[in-house]
Amino acid sequence: MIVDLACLALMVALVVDVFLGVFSRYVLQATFQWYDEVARLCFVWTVFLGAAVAVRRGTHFRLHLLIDRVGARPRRAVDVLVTLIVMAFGGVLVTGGLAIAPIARRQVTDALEISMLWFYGALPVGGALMILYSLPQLWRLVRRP
Amino acid sequence: MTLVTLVFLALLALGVPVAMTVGMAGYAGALLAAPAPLAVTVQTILHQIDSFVLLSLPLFILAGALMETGGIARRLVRLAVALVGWIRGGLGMAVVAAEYIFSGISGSTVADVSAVAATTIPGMVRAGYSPELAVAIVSSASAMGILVPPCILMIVIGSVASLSVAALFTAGFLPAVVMALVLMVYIWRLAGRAGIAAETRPSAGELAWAFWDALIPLGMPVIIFGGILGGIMTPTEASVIAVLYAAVVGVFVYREIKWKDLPDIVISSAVVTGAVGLLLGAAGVVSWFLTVQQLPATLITLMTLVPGSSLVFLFATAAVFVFFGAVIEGLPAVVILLPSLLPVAAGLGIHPIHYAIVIVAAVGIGLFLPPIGVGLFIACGIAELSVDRATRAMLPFVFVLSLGLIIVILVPWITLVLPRLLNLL
Amino acid sequence: AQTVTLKLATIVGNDNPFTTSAIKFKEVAEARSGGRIKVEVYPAGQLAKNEIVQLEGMQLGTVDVAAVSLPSIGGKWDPKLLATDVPFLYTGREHVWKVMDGALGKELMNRLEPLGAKPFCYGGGWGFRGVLSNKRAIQAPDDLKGQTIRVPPIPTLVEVFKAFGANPVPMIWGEVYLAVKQGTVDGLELPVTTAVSDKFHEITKYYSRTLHSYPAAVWVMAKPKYDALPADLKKVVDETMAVACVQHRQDEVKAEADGLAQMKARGMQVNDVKDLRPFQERAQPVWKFLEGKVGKELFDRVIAEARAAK
Ligand code: NA
Ligand code: NA
Repeated sequence: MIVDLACLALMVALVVDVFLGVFSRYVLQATFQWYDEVARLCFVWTVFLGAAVAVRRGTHFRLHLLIDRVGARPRRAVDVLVTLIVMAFGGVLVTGGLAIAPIARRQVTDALEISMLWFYGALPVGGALMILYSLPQLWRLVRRP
Repeated sequence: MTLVTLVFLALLALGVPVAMTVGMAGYAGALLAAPAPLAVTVQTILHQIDSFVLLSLPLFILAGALMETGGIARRLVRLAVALVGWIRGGLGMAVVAAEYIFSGISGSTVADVSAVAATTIPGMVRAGYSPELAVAIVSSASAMGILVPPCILMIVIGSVASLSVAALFTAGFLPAVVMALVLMVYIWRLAGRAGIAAETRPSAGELAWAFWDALIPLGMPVIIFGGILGGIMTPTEASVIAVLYAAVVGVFVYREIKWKDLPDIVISSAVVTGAVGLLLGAAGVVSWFLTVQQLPATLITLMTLVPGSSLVFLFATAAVFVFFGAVIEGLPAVVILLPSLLPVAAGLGIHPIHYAIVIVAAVGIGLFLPPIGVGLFIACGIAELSVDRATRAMLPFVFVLSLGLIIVILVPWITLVLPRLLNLL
Repeated sequence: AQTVTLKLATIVGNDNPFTTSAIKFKEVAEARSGGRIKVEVYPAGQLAKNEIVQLEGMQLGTVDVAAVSLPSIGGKWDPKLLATDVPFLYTGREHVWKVMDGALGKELMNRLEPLGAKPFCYGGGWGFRGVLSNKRAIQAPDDLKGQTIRVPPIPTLVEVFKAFGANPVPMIWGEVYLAVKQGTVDGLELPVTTAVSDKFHEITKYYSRTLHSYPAAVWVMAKPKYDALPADLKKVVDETMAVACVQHRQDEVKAEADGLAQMKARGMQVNDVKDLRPFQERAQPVWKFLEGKVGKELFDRVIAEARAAK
């Protein structure tokens, strides 16, 4: 639920920020230099938190055609496998995020001059949440009589 | 290359979400071609997503969600029925017209088909259309509607191919008209054979009232395009204005969105953004892999061998994107393939904007291609109809849409005249 | 003997001096190594979309050879690399090259090595940057006042335009063309070559050669990749880099002349800034800003070397 609220806050921040960008250019005649960087930061975090919530809600786009044609028992095995692959992808984001951290740590961003970890961090956090949200689904599949 | 293709096909067939399928295929490519595969995967995903042009994506998604619930679709349908409903087959034509107008404010085809299906299918069935036909009409109308700007796919193409989003937007209007006209003629003939009655002809007063009632939603495209073409804002900035406009109309003017519903609408839009964004980022990794496998260079060499012409290449491109539109929803296909295809198209003298519009139209058809197009699933879900039954009704519409696409391919003028007229090229 | 494949990335199209000299690098390296070195050239950002991604790619092992300009890298990794690009300091590209080829230039270039990129030499660059506008030509500092100008996210450039009373706007490249054409912004600042290759000369009226910046590009190779080469191939790379740098400088001079001719043929009004001094005076707050970023000692050395090189 905290993640949902974070998504909400990020989207609102994005709208307000881009609006301020236009406002500062036209009305103040002195454009806020940070507005596009802040917008991109909000967007990147929205994507990875939103993608994690989409795992929880099961709303990622997928092809049903073939699995809808198999019986109940193999279907369950397939569902377990699919959940494991989603978790594996989350694992790629987490370990890849850790692998790039030493490179990201040495960079600062253009306008805010904050560490690039603020951008790259969204990927491992999103990946970890994808794994976290997959666990109960896996549990239900395995436990189901 | 073979391994990556196999991973892709296997995971896709298993029903793994497409974003993860593309991501794992990309990671397999990185394993083969990069010394630090994990870091390269993450790096490529981030750089693919981190772009100011793509910022308009969540904003147009949010604007679409606000309008879906804001009573806007219903008013536009009423206007469309008043406009053409009295012609033979007019209700079906009205659906096409309504979708054209609705897509003029919504950037998402999924939002289009949901809103238009929910507001028109019951009415068509009451008027004597079979549920199968009703679903086919809504689906083919939505396939056409992807060409009407704003359009998320055009935003992504603009970002991938460094094309002006405003020029792409403007280029979509007339090809959509061509597709809509072809559909309307077909519906007119079909209704004649099926003996479906027309609606009663509205009086001038009723027509004026329908216009007045739809004035606020019609104001939206005026603001978006007026703002962009008038030099007041960029497409990204226009998307913020679209959000604010839709929110104000839904909450204060029509009062159909309650304050307590707003957070859910915003969060759902963030979730859609996440699903689309992850797909785009993951596709970037596959695109990187194909680049280091020298696919662009190979393609260019191949195309110089084929004795052919730009037409062969355009038709092949259209077929490829209809297929990918059906299987993986179009967006990742654009990210993966367009960087390789665009130089070839340019070498054959195809205008990049024309090329892009052909791709958009093809993806639109693919999204509703029976039996697997995701858009068709949504329409069937709303009509509570099995996809198998809808498939038979949909097939002739796919042919009709393809006919429209062929016209758009053969006559680049249709695509290019408006952006040229508005001095955007 | 085994062959070594080098991935060379440029972020510009085939006609740009960066890519033409990259092709030269390929030819020379392959010929002089007797085919033991194979060079794959990836132009137009196919492999890395900008200089930041190029350097990241060197650190990750996905990019082997590139030419990067110090200020772009400096803004992200190492502020000291911003030092040489002092606005309105240089009177011409010979002047810039003289400073870069001196002790200070070498010293700064070597700061790339700990970032994973072994530096070789300064090639040409993007060319001197100037201001394209539809509002008015820039002859004196006050001409910039009130103009809304798109500026890339390089802090020194942003400060320059603020100091002259313009309204500098950050805007992603993909939206700039239309924004200029539709009048969302009055103009932008670019070197001649890029201005022409991206067709800005078709939609703007004035090109003012303000000479406010000339970031020279350093030819670099991924350090682990270079270190792993046998001694004879290292020598081939060293020699080839020198050839590429010379070629880059020649191509850039020629490309600028071509670009200016195309601008004039298109009816653009091109003007030189006659007197740099008022610009230098007005830019003093920016010099202070830069001095704060890179440290007084280094900044003073840049100024001293530049004055000595005149
Ligand atoms: Na649309
Ligand atoms: Na739409």
